[in-house]
Amino acid sequence: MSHFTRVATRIVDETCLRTALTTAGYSVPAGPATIGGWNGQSRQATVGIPDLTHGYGVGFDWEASHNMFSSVADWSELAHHGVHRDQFLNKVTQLYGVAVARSTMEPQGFSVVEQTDQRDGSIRILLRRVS
Amino acid sequence: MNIEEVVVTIAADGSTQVNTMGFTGMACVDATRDLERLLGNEVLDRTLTDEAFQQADNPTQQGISDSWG
Repeated sequence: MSHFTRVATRIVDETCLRTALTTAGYSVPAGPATIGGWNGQSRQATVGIPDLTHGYGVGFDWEASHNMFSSVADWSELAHHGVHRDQFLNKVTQLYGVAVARSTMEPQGFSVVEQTDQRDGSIRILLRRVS
Repeated sequence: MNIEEVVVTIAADGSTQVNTMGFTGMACVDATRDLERLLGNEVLDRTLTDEAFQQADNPTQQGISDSWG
């Protein structure tokens, strides 16, 4: 049988978030991260990249009111250095989806047969289980 | 030999489509439950094909139906 489901992806799992950031090539401390911001200031975040560029970082904290992780960063300064909020967060969310697909399906005996970056910017993962 | 496949497509805007093929009865809903949960459990829509109803008399379907919607 089949089903076809559409989900609005929200980042809710810390481990998969860490995997997504690491997959994107960022260095992520194992515990809480101290995130660099405007004028040399810094703050703590549950998960984060301390210095994304020019001393400015991006952090993620659990937002209980929305039941999801939300980002914290000095986005206006980051934009001056070529890091744009929507672009960055969309990429992280995409890679989070990849991490979720692998971490939830592989324990059930599924293997990733192919993973492709498609022309429309989407990532397609085919998982298969043979029994 | 039984081949079950799940295709996960994550759009550039972060929305995710999950498509399953080759499952028996409602097993496909079980297989992707954790996947959907960690994606935030905000299912926008779900379409079941006729095959989903092949085992309508299967008692295990009762519990599974709770997860819908």
